[in-house]
Amino acid sequence: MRRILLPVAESPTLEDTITYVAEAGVRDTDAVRFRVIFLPQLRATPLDAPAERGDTLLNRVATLIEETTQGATAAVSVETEIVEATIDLYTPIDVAEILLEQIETYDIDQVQLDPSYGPPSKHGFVHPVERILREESTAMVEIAPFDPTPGILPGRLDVPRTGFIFTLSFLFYLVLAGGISTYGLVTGAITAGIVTITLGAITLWFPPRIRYTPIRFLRAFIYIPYLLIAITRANLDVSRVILHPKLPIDPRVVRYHPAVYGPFPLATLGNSITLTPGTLSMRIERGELLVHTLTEDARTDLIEGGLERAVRFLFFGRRAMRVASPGERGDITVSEPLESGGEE
Amino acid sequence: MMDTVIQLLIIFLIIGGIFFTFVAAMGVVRLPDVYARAHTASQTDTLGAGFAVAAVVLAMGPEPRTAVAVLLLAFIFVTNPTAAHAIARAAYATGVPPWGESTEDDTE
Repeated sequence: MRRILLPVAESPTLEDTITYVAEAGVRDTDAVRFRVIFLPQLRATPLDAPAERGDTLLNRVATLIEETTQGATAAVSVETEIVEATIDLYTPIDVAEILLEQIETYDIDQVQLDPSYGPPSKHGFVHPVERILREESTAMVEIAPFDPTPGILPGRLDVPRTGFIFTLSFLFYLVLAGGISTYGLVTGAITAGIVTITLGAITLWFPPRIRYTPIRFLRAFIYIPYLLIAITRANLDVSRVILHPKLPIDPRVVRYHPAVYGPFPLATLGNSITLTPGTLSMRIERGELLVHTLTEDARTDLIEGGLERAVRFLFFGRRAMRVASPGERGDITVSEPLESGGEE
Repeated sequence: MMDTVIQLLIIFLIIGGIFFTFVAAMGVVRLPDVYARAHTASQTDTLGAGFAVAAVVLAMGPEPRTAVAVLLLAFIFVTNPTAAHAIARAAYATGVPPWGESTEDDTE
């Protein structure tokens, strides 16, 4: 009995991959079981209904496998499952961890990967996953031999994304050119075109949407002054500490699980935290931030969660601001006072 | 009258810029380890550069070129924390212990 694990997500090479895997799977064996899994978190946004889409996708894959393997001598069985991960999936390491659990639990001999498997627009996501699986398990791991980016345009360039990036880079060019002239318009269009073609597919995870993107721009007009005030206040505080003859610093490392989700909001929060003097993000891992704090005051600000609320407002609106502060949620752990020689 | 106000504002901003840049330099010299230095080297500095560019914006007045200075400001605010994070992350990944966590005195 051969057991093949096939993690799937919507991708341009999915169909090719499945046909390939199904054909290879029934060769030289008398029985094969395909275990097809879908990780909703890889695709999910709070706005989608991931479970439903997962069902449709898995049904399609199962049907395709059955059609492809019709007439084969081997006994074929297909099982599908939507695997709800208990951890946030941000990096290939997280995804590999889930797959390793699957290999262990279901006694898998082979893992077949789609070359464009991973979150939307993350080209090459699958390669580190493959490497980790090879190192950490005895299962055979293979990436189906299809080119994930056929043609000149990188995959998954859609109209909203293309339009957004083109317009933004075109306007940026015109501002730099300092006015509108025929020369500027022509060279600007060419430059924006090159930017869109080369970087379009990796710039945005999700296409901009009329419902969300413009209002986020508007909210930024409230967010940015708020951030500037926070930065100035923290700057004065840190300047006082630095110029103080005794240098009264109290550095501690803080583990912080923010109530902000998704790569872009999290990056915004991380950058805002780093911009505020006294707090410096050292690492972002599975939605958890490791923050180096210089002073007690800086820590208090972090625990009160002003920046977190501001970022939630920026991305999700005013209602999202009503959230308990990280201190109240118990989402912040401060390392022990370090000077007292306490070793962990 | 208006000119005088603007000029005073420019002087104020430049002094602010010099002050925060000076503090940043002091911080790099005085603070004990790579993490603490990354705080000041990039952040206090951001405000220093921010004030200076704001002064430039005021000095140039309302003309198309001013927009470029404003963009410059925006880029400083996006790239500086990214660089600070990269430094801290690299230090953490290579196992540099934060000051105070090591038992040895490394304030020198």
